[in-house]
Amino acid sequence: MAENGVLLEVKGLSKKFGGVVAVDDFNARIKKSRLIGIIGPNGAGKTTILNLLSGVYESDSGEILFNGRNITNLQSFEVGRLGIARTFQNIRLFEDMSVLDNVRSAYSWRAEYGLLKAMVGWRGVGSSEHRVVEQSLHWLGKVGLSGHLDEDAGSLPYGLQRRVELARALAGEPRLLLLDEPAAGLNPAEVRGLIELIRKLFVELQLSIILIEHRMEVVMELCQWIYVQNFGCTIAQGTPAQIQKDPVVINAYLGEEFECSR
Amino acid sequence: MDYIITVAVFTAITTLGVLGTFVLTGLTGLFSLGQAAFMGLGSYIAALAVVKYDVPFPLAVAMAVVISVAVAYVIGYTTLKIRQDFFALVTFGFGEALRSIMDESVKYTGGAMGFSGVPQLTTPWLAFGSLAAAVWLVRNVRKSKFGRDCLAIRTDELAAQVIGIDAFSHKLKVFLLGAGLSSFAGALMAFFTTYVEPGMFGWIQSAIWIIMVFFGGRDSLTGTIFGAATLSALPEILRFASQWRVLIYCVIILLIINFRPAGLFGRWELSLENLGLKHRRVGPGIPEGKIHG
Repeated sequence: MAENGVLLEVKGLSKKFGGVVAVDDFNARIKKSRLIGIIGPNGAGKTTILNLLSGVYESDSGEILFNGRNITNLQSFEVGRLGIARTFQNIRLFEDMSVLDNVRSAYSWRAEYGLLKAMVGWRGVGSSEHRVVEQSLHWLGKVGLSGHLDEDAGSLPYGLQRRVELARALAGEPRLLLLDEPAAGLNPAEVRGLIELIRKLFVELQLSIILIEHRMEVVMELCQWIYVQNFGCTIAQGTPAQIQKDPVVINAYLGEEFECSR
Repeated sequence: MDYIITVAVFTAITTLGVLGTFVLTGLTGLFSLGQAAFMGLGSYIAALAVVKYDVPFPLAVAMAVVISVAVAYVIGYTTLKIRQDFFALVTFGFGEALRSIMDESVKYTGGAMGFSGVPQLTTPWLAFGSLAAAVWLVRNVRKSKFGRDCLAIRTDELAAQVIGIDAFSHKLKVFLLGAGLSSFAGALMAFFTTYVEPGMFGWIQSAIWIIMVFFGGRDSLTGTIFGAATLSALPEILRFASQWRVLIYCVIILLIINFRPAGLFGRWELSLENLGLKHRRVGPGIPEGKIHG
């Protein structure tokens, strides 16, 4: 099992695309129930880190330990089943399905029946589905979507779509939640709501969250620890107060050249 | 047999075969140009078993389905990991290869001359009963988590994987189910027409099945049944229009594709609730009928 409450340990994680090093030797130790931020200019490799953690990409080198278990290069559905859930920068919902069915899909791999039982309409299918509906309603209630169950997910306004995606991720009952720019495209009022929502979920569910965000108010208000990425490297890490004063970070954002040092 | 009943039975068996395309292409978005080849495989296995090896009819049909599903397992296991456009090509190749085998192995199948002398053992009731049973099975699958997973994978495979759905294993199951349905239809067809020939199961037939599914509505079981039934009966119904019937057939399809891109029925399903004959059951805070999929 994990030593002294470490949930996620990343060692020397790297990923290249052709000649471009998207992530270069990323290291992190994240304890249980922590809110972590990753910031950095565009193209710094932030999303690539999430894609590596969630099994969407295979890494070139490095190791990812989750709950003491080596999950490096597992397929994304296996990572998802082990308790890492995520959302996407450009929202990836099942658009033709209802809001409720989007969340129900997250329960598929835990269903108590197989194809043959489903085919013959075995009695347990109904009760299993009933439980899944109730659990899905619970998550939809948490993100404030109880009034939109029947609507096609794709027809909702952007801000609500983000919440559907969040509910779907939470339905996986993750220990680690990866949020890729959850505030992108939201107006200031919606951003406020999102900050409150993430804080509420964090406190209630006691899970760890890794958050990528360009909106500084979100990161600075929520995160306990921040990694700053630029050109694939971690150029700084620390508490929000430390990061805001760090000259290296300020330079990165103002566009000064930076050499990776190892 | 009465002409109308003959057309009706033929239509019912075709519809049963098209259900295979419905689960695979309609729901899951996997384009197979070899689906009709499974019908051919089922036809030949069942017909050969009965005529050449004196296997009892029900057992021959069961054999046809089991062997076809086994063949589908081999093909699916090796091809469902590749990209979906390549999958269409591979199934095309498989279908054509199978057709060539039937064509070339003259000694067993009669080759291009066809395989005749199959006893007529598929009664109208057997055909209609089989279709009803298959529709019921597919409906159950559609309403279970498998139906949702199909749609999830079709819309966004990456997002489906991330929430724990094993897309490969799901697609493989759907492929086996589709092969089972189509080969079952094939076995019934052989014992209805009493004659099988390789030309009936080529890629064009598979493409027509896909058209039938999209015509009725890829998301609607009702629509698929309607599409398969009308489009397979239409050439017969339009027989009076002699040389114009192909044109009329094409115009009808073009009109549907232009004006109802989601198919004639869209996502609508026939049910007592949707006809207003029965009140929706109320679940935990939500109307039951609305939890579709």
